[in-house]
Amino acid sequence: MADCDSTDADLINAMSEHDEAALRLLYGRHAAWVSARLRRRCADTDVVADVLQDTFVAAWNGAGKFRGDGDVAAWLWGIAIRRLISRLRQASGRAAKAPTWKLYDAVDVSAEETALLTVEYSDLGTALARLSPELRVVLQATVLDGLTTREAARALNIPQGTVKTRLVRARTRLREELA
Amino acid sequence: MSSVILTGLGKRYGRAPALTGVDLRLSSGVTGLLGPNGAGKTTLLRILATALAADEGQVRVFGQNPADTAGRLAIRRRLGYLPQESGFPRGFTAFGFVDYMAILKEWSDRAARHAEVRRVVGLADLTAVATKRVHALSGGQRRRVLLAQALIGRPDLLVLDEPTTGLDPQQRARLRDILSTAGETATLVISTHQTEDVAALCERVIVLDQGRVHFDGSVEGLISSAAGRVWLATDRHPEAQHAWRIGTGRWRNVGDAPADVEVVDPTLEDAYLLLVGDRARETEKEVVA
Amino acid sequence: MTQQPRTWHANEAELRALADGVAGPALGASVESHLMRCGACRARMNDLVDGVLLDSVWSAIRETVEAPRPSVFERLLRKFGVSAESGRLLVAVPAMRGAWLIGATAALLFAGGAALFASGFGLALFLLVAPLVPVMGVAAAYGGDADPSHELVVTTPYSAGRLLLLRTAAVLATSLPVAALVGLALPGPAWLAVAWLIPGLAFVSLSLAAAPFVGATVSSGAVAATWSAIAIAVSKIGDPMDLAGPAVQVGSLVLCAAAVTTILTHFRLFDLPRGQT
Repeated sequence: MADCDSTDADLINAMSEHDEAALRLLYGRHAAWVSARLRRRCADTDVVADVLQDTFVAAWNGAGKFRGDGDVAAWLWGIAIRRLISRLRQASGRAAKAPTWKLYDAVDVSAEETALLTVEYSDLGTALARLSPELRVVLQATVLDGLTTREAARALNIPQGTVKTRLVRARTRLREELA
Repeated sequence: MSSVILTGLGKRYGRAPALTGVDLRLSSGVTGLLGPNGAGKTTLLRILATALAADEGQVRVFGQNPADTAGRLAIRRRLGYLPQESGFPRGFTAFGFVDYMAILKEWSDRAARHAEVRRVVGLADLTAVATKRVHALSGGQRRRVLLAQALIGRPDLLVLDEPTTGLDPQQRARLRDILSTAGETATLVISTHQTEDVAALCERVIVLDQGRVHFDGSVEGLISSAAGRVWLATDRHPEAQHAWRIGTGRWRNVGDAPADVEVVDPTLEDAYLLLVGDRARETEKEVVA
Repeated sequence: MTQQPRTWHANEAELRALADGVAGPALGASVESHLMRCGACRARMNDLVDGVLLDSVWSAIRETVEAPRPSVFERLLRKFGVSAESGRLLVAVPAMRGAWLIGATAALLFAGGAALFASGFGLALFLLVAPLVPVMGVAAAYGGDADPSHELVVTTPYSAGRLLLLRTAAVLATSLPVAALVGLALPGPAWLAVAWLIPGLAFVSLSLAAAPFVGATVSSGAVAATWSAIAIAVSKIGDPMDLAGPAVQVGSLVLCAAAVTTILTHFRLFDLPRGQT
């Protein structure tokens, strides 16, 4: 029986045996941050709620396919971000050439924000802050959200080749920054 | 106003009588049905639950006759039934089975039905296993799945055949809570082998033996029938119908007490054992005579 | 730049900025990437995010995962306009599960194959088996072990007769097309493909009409045995084609009409448990 001491992987395992209590615990641990990350990418609360629901229902149905050694948080986010993208694409309509939605804001980083990036974990953040907006969104889509170059290309509405070249450029810049 | 009236009820299986001349009136509250195996408890409950037709006598439930189609339907709309045994369709989850029963009980609106299913699944303490397949559940859990479906729609007549079988003490206590709450408005009939359930729960007790009613009255009334017939002694008394050594090392004797013994207060179990035991001895005498 | 002391965790303000959606791209990316590595900080997000939203989403999730997932067969039924509720009632019996359909198809294919390769005998076999397939389906939908919760089902207000007809209709809808397709593949006149149809319907209605009295297992078994005996006798002494001949067709039609009349006039009997008539 799943309880508070169970690891995330144990919970997924229990979920694959139709244990609803395990899903409840998993939801308690992960729903908050998943919803916060979704909110940053989509202002529409209804869409966020739908995607959050779809994510955990998909986790329930797909629990049997989870690899025991994988990271549960990354697995959940992988489901969530892909659900969000397909949901937004559906809403904007396949016919529309330019997407009416934007997952990644290509805006400049303000000086105040740079000043906040002080803690140790923020290496990526500081480096990102110094990148140009179009390079940064490519990194956000691939590194932060774990999308493949193909998925990133569709999410950003740019050719896959462009994603690849920008990724290379961004990596080179980062290496210089962090060196 | 009695919700159930049975007059001269009789039922036979082939030539063997299962019930003979049963006259009963039941109204709201919890009635316990006691009796040895084969006494006719299940037959009586199945007749009340419209799962079986009587051969003789009259059955009226809420004034309706289960022998005619409209009457039967009217009764079934107000009935919750926990059979002694039931299988489950293959592949159904606990929630799915209760949901299936709710569909059969005319809950056609999906949202309302699911809310009701969730309520009874919670009452039966099954929420944690609601999504598991019934066949993967333990015997006690399956029993509670059957109980949950009986509670759908807060029925006016609850017919429960051995509801406490397979439950642990906490679950039994919880069940008593549920049933006593339901008994405030509804008519509940439960059969059981556990006299302590009857003592804890029922205002009224009926003892059935060999298809006939041998006691019908209050729990206190049945207990008082054993007054002076239970005593403690240092050894098993040869005249006692039942005797067992209790924790203190002394013997609890149940039967016709000799003079000058330490008589103690009887329990419902003592009274029940005496009633059924006396009956058996009478039958024996008749056979000998 | 005012340097804060280095910590191993995100601070309250940073997490709050993320939760409130006011973190810019760089701060947001930092906190997000930290969250993916830190369970403690993920847990701290619980107090910062809108709990009402999380609770309402949880109710919706629970509703979805608790509600039984419709089987492939139920989803197919939905496509044909059968309500989800009726679909549930159908799949409770073995006749509506894959195993039975596969068995029925296999029996028909076997008989059809025999008819292709061993004309006379095979044809008789097909004409014997095809009308019995729906009858076996009815037994699987209503027979003794078909519905293990029969005792409970019969005490619900849902009409058992209606339930039986619903399940019979589903059996016919699934088994008739299969039998017809196999029949079409046979050599000989095209009407052979449907020659078993009237006997098949007659057998189904006969078993149903007798079901309240003797139970569906016995009634369908008796029908199957009788028909097999007739079919074997006819093909031994005469032409197997006689099994599809006018005598059988007319006889079946009469039987069918009589059985359907019995069912309709005794419809209430189905609401009683087996053997209670």
